[in-house]
Amino acid sequence: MSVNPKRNQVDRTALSVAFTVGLYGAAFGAAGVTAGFSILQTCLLSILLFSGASQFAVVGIMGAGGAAVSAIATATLLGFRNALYGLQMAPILKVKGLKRILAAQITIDESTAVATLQENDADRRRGFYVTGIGVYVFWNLFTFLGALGASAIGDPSVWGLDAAVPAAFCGLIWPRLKNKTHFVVSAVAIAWALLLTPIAPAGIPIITTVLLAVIFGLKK
Amino acid sequence: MSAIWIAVIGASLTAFLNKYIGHSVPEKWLNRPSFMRINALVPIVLLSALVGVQTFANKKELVIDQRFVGVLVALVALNSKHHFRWLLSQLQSHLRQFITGFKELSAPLVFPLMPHLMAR
Repeated sequence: MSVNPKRNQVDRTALSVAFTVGLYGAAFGAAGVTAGFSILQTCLLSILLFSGASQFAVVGIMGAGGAAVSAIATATLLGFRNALYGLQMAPILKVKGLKRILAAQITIDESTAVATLQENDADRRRGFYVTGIGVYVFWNLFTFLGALGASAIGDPSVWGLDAAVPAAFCGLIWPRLKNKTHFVVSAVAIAWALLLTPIAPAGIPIITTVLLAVIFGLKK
Repeated sequence: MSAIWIAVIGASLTAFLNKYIGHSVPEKWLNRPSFMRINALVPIVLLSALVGVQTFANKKELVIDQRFVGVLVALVALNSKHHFRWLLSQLQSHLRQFITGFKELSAPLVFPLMPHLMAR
């Protein structure tokens, strides 16, 4: 498969998504180092975990002094949507063995989104792979640059980098808030987490908000 | 092994399992309406809680500092990006009306850019 963004509309969309999202990797790289992860640990999260929200959650919780098990549990719950994307993509991709492993690794928000925008299965496959591999390349490249940059400038709070982490999270939530219920649920989750912060170990105020998702999800 | 290493390796493993399971189980196992609704809300509650804690918590204390200002700036930026898109779409439709008269002249110049502008 040769990628040709000049001629092919699918490639064009895929690559512009890949680059824009990839740039955001620099924010993650900086967040990782700010939270006390080494450059290697930060880059390994982008190479192996490769799912933005989960990665930010891991560095966020560990950086706040949370237990590894809280970080793993939160990242796992956040990553569960990728299972549903896989479910959607499997009948279109029809891959087995090693190819399935590779396809699984690049099953994320962006690759699935670009695939579902297309009108036939050939374009869906193309959109999925070009976006998935493109995001993988750019995300990892910019994670490394962000981590390198943040470790070069020393104490992050002097530069206001500690403000960049929650700001980056806002960018992740914003596109998911699609109706009034979502805003209400978001506000309740913030209130819940802040109420628990003084009394519960770090990480618990976050992971327990899943109960709120279950309650609101079953209500309708 | 430090806690950070455990978190890095553990979370990477479960993330891959999540992705691989989706590609491997029959659709009816996961495709249930209430399940889908809960799943849409899970990232919202977890990420919202993270924003709250990352903005206001200093260990076990709640404080208001420069991080809160950073988040406010981010929210304003995200909100104006939304409006910026609307502005851009208005400009595009005006531009399109304008160039219909000059199609032969401007088409080679503007049309290659159009899909790119629309994708924004």
